[in-house]
Amino acid sequence: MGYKFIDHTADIAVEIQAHSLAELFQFASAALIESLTNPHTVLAVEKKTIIFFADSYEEALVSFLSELNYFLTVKKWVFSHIENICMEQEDSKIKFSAIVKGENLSVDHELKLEIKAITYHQMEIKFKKEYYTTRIVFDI
Amino acid sequence: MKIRGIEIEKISDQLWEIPPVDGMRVPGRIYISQDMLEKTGLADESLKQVVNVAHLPGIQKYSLAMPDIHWGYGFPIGGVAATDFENGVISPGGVGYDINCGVRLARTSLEYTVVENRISKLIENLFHNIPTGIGSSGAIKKLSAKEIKNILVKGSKWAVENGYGTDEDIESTEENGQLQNADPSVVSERAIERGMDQAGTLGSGNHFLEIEVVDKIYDEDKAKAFGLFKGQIVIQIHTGSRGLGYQVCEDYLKILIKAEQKYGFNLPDKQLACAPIQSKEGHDYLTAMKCAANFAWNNRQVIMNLTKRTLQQTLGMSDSDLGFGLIYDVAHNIAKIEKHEINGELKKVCVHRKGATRAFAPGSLFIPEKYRTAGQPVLIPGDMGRYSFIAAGTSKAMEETFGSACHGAGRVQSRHKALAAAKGKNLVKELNEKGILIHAAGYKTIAEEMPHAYKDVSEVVDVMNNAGIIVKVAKMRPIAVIKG
Repeated sequence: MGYKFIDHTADIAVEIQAHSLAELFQFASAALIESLTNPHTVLAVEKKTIIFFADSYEEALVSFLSELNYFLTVKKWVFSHIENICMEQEDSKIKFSAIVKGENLSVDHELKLEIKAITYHQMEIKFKKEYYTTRIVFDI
Repeated sequence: MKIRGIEIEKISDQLWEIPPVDGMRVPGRIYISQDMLEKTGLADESLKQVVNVAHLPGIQKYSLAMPDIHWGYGFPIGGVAATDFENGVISPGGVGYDINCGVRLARTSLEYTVVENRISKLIENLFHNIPTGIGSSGAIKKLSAKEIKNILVKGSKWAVENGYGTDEDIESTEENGQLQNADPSVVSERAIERGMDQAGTLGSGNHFLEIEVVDKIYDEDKAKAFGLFKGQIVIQIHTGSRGLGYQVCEDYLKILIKAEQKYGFNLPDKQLACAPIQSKEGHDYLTAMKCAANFAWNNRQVIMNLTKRTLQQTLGMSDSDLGFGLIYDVAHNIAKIEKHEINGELKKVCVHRKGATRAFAPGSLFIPEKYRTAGQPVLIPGDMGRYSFIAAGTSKAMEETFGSACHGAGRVQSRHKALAAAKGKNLVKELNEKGILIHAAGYKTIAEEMPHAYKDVSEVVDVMNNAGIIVKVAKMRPIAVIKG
């Protein structure tokens, strides 16, 4: 279980395998963090809560990672830990929530690259043989 | 022959066709040489993407790909498709995340031999004055949301009204740097927020600013029309709509994925999400895309003006001594409503150019009057270690490709492989030894963008030239580069 970066000509592609959906989202966020920065340089001194509704788990995954990317690129807030990922069905929607820990961006943080967007390319969350898999491509 | 299970037939030395099968509404057509085909083998998913695009409702004539074709999201990079304006669809996958990513080329009256020993100081000052790299910001004062909305409506005109350029710059920009009917009310607050401090910033990745020397002239008359001469210093700028454009694409992909399900198009790839141009979803995306395109034109206009100011300050030159002026600015990630002749009739279509450059023919009323004899300047940047090209559009482009041509070299090596190949090398020194100075926000970008990570752009340009889609005008070599 975990995530691995796979070769992609122009961008960053990640393959993920997890025991649960929450773990899949956790691994995906870890891959995003590793792509953007060195998490060891980030202190988890402040927390933010993410809550939104989505129509599918793929949409939820793109929205979740996009929100994290937004924190960094717009709010200049860098993160290192994600906790309490929760997804529950509410009417016909998926209610997603998570807690993100990090701090304001400073010169002490290593920034590796700028991610334009989290794409839907080849993304399909599948469940087989007791684990969840997906692929994610970050457009840089 | 078959490539990755897709039947492909040779039409000519530069053109290959995929006959329509299984839901394809039109054939696929790829401009590529046998040699390039054998070398690259189109080993990625790009050929499949040409097939996927051929499924779009309302697509006209062909799903096209230029010789710099490679794997994109939805459309391949280098993909061109025109859809019927009345009954067809519009797809953000045919534009890309970086809406109106594009290139502009500015001329000077400087000769390389005269300013050779000032280039080092010049690139140092440009690197200081033009914000570059991850999340770069602050080229000009942080703008209010109201001012950003003004940019979304006015495009390059905002820059000129605020002292960042001249009316002549506007005339030398595709669409005069302003797509009409851009209404910011369909752009999300988050997109506006992402644009707030990014006007006039280069960004990261493959975006660049280069000082170049005109190295070779292929067509004297057209070069003269474009104001080019051998040994001349020119400036090339490659960037787009930054975070604002990425957010517009992200916002509307979400909406259009649902619209595609609502209209029951059942397309083979989620990133091909689309909506009828005449639907609310399609109309809103087109309008928001126009706003982002205008933001990008303004961005390149501001950067060019900051460049001009830096040149004047560094070299201590007056306007007339410097002879600085925009040759042309072209978008290479955009959807445009245009009229093209299809089956003998002039038809209104939405031309998606995803990593493809408009290449209108001589005589077109949509290009500046000064270029109507030569044809539209087509700007084709290469990698930072070799060369770039300027060409002109042709009537054959109007007949075959909806007035479109290639946009660059295209990567052949992943960033990871490029980094591995760069290990133990001093790329900055290697480039310096070739006469190219480089400044970048980080060494990693230089390694990822190393010349051999890209196709040789001259092969790409030659396919288009030999197919008669463009006419080569001049080749420029970089002497100083700023990378994001």
